[in-house]
Amino acid sequence: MEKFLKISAVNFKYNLLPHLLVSMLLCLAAPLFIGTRNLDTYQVAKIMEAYLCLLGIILLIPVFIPDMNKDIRDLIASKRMPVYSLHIIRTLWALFFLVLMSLAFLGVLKGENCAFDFGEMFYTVMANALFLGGMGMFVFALFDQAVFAYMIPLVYYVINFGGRKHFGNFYLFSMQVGHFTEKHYLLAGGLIFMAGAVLLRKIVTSFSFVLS
Amino acid sequence: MLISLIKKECSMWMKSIVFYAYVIILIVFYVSQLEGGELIRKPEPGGDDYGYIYSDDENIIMNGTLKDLVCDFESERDFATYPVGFYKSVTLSEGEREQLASCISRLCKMSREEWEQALVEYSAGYSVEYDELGRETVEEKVPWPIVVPSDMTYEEFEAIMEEVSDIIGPGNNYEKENLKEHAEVKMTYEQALLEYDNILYKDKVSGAYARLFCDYIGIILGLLPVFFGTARVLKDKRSQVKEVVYAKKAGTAAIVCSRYLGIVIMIFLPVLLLSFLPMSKAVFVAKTAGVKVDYLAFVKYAAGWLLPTVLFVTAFSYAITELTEGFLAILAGMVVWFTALFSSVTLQWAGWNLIPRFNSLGEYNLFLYLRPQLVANRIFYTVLALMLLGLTLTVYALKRKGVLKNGKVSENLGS
Repeated sequence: MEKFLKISAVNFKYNLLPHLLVSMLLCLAAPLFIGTRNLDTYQVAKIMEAYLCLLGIILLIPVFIPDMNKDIRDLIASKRMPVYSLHIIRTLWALFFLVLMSLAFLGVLKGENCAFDFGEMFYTVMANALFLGGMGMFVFALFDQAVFAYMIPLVYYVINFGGRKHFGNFYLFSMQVGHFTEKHYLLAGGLIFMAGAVLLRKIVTSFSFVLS
Repeated sequence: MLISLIKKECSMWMKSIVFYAYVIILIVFYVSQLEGGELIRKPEPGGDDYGYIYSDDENIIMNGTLKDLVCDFESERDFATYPVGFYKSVTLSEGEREQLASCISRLCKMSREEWEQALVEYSAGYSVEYDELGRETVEEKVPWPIVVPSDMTYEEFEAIMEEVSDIIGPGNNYEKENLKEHAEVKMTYEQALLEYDNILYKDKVSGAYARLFCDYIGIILGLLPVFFGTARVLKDKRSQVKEVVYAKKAGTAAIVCSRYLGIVIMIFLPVLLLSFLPMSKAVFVAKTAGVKVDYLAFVKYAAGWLLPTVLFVTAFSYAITELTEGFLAILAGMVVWFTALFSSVTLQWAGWNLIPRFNSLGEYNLFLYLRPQLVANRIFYTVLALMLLGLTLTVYALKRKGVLKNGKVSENLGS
């Protein structure tokens, strides 16, 4: 527990904090870009799918940033605590703040007299955010390139604006036309990406440590 | 020196995964958005859809504007305004809403209770359905009931709309010069034929395709250069060669400018190469119609329209990353891109937006009307890019001299 708290505190101070601030800014700036009062379910879906889901990219991708430097990575690999535990703790904190901010945002929308199913919308934003963030994590783990890790999910998001025909069940904006099924695929895809990323990172770190 | 450094930068990008990802993304974006799109065809008499045009008919302008105003008022959402070209939402107070309701009553010569009741009856018979592709089908059982009476003159209407505009604030959609935008009507055959002639003889076909190309590619170019600027600065940090580069004989301006120009070239070249695809389509249409084509149209449009976007976004990410040595530029770039894309007034608009839009094939006269604001917009972003490049030069020079240390603002303030 002591170790968990120590790792969490270091992660919060040196890694998560700036990304958390940007996420909060994204939430607070929402009324500047989009209407937040008296919205119907389709309009709320639009905010969740096209705006709030970006929190996933902002919060999840930085999970691997602290050990991007090979020397730091080797140092971490030499410790008794397995590297995946470290990544899981960072991922859990990112998820915690993602859930917290999404719930707060949806709560504000409810307070602004928007008509929507709270559980369904929460599921929607989590599915999209985890899919995009998980995709970024996976790309990061695979190529060890932070810039590339931001690039791929952001471009996936941008291309989705062109319509659903190329994306099938992994179309991000399905709720805006009343389709919920895609959200199960996106959530499952996101979780697989995240698990795959942590696993891949473990293999890469152990492998490079053994080689060095 | 500068030329050889630029060459080195370009060859470095040729080995980068970010560059190849960019090229693939550009091609995928083009194919998914533009390939297989419409060809310009001569309109046939008796067709049922020739596209849309803004009407000059005062009656249509008055009724279209009133309908939009009532819908905006009843939705109780904030009003969208663009006071200096950028989006600003305006929330009206209860008193201002009362004044607006009174203006609507004077426009339709009905009491507030009457037009609100009419709207309730209309809404009960109104339904909208979406198909698989997200296209909507609207069904109206009752015709739109809130209209401007026939005895109202256009001058009276304009006077009331001026009051409406004053209540909402500057840069709103109900200002005198924007009223025509509420009068979108279907084109007649004669209008469609005139439009077709403009494309053939004034646009020389390729101009129309070049505008559509710039519209779509501008969307992706508002974001992708961010990754290059960030990647370039962080590459030095990651390879731990910053100090080695600082010690080199090359001047600060040569290092920074060569990196900047290297990125701009590597981003812009694939765009020019990609433009051969829509160009071939334009050549085919021109040959079929037996008219001359402007082969340089894509180069001219891309240089004037897309290059300023590339210059600005690259300079923006380069400056922020040089200053912070982190990933903040990507997040900030994302916010700038998001704001730019979703604050366009219409799909044919420039204002001061980073991503000017012209999402239609043809509409030469509308383009001529928008061209002055587009030119001013592009000059603005080019100047802004040069200023950001100047900032980057200053930051880099200070780092080189050891005045700024790690590029972390907090550390520099603390020292």
